[in-house]
Amino acid sequence: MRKKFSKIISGSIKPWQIALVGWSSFAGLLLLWVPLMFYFDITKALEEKQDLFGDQFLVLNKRVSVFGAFGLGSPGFSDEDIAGIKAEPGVTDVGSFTANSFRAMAVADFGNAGPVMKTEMFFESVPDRFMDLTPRGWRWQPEDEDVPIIIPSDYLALYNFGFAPGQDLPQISQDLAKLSSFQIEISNGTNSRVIEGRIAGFSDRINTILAPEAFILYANEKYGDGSRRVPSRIVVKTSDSATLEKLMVSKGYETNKEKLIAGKEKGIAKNVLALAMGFGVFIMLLSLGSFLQFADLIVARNNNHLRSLLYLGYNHKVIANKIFLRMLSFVGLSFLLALIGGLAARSYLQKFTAGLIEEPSFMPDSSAILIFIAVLIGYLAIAYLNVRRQLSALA
Amino acid sequence: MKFTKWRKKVVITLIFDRVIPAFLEGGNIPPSDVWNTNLTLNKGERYIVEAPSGKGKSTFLGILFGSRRDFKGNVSFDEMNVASISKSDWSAIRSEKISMLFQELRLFEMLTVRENLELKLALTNSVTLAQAEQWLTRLGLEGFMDRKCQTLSYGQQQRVAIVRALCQPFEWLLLDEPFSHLDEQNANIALELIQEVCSSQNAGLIVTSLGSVQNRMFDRSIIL
Repeated sequence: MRKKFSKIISGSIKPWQIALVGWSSFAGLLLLWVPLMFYFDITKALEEKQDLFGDQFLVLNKRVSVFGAFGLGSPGFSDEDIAGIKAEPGVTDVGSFTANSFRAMAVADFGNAGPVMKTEMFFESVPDRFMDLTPRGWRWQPEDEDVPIIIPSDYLALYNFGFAPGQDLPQISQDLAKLSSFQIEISNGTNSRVIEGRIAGFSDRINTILAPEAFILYANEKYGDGSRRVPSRIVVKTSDSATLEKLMVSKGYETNKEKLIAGKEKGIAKNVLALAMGFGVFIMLLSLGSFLQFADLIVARNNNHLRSLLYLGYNHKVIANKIFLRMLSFVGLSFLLALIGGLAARSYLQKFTAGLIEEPSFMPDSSAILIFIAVLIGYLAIAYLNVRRQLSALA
Repeated sequence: MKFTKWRKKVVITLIFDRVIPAFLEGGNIPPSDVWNTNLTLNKGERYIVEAPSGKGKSTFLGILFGSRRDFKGNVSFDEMNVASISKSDWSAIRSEKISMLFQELRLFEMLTVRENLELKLALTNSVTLAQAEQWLTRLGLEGFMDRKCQTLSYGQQQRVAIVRALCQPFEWLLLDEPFSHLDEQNANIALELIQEVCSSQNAGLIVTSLGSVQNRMFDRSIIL
């Protein structure tokens, strides 16, 4: 039946028509497939640092002025200041830093490996939802014998590349630093408590020594001097750093400039990729159009023969399936070529994206594969339903 | 009645109830055995449809075959109104209940005689290819199995189409001008074969225009 069927159908189709449909479906699929893979490659690469297309976290402080040095002017964010920032478009959340109001001393004893270090310390906390990582044991309770802290990765870099070489001290990796512990003495002059401190992680986002909020609130209550200070720094979650930048200029707020620039670069990358994918979708739709027209052409050219098959007693659904399989055999090769061509193009283009994607892998991201398959299924489903509809109209 | 239940039944009575085809609508409908009246065709009986051309002979057969739906009134197979038959059910009817020979034959000219017959046989396997080949031989087409249909004369094609129409189980056989391109001798042989197969299947027969053939075997003639 299949052989006879293709004899009935094939005579009416010219090779160049098949080639044209094959080429357009190849081009459409390829132009969608390649940007799609890169979108997820870049997203994945930047996700480890910060979300490419998601929200950005910025830590704001007020500019330190001459007046501030003399104790004039407010160094902190008042409730009105915070309300003003919250009202900005794009700002989805604002969190305040809570500083310690108790005295804290850190004592580190490295045994024979290094000197005993003793230093006055400060802590701050932010609500957990603003942290880029929440290590295990971060949920602190007063009966706990140790307290986890997170330090900026820059601090360790400062030690490893600045301090340690100059003092002939060994460099410390992040993992090693996490193993070390030290004592923290908190007091208000009359009462004191010694608690074990351990480094639980390193943060790129927040430039301070972070302790669990529960710990700071507990210690401020019990060992603090009772004063309530306005937060000197706040963390802002925003999807639109450009608007925030304008506000910062007008109000005299400061942030990490580099992060702001990185935010802009990500915005540009986002637009370029969105444009490329939009173009791919456009070509894909054109190719879907030509594929559908191809089906129309086959049915129109074979109208009489298809009627004859229906009158012989063939079910219109069976005939539609046969036509669809026949069309699939025409474009199947171009689908396969687009799949392989896209993978080849990606591994070639990875040379140029080395700065964005540090560890390229041959396998595309599973989300890209899933979307590709979904698009392919959708494409074929529309084509199939079109053939079914036409045959049903004929029957 | 549900189609699946009806499908198991062997009897089909064809009932026309005040049917008016689209081409007669609005005008003055001349007296007719079919149009705008009641007509019942009983299974196993043989009918000859007589009318000058343009009176709707092909339309009449097309309505019974489900290929024409441009009419008013009711047509029923037993108790089942044809309007309620789905497209898929029509394909079952065409391969199991009603076989039709079209005036325009509807052979696949790019295929061989064998392939044309196989396309029909594959649907029900009720007739063997050898049987079909034997019928062809009887109609004077011995050794034609592997000839492409487009290389045959119209008269030869007509005989292939007749044999193909017999290659399925049927309760009714509808033949639209089956002998238009056959000489009297060949037409008589073909009619003999058709009667034989109809008798063996206990099927009803409706033929439009016998051409030069005179035959007294018909139970009734229908005037359009």
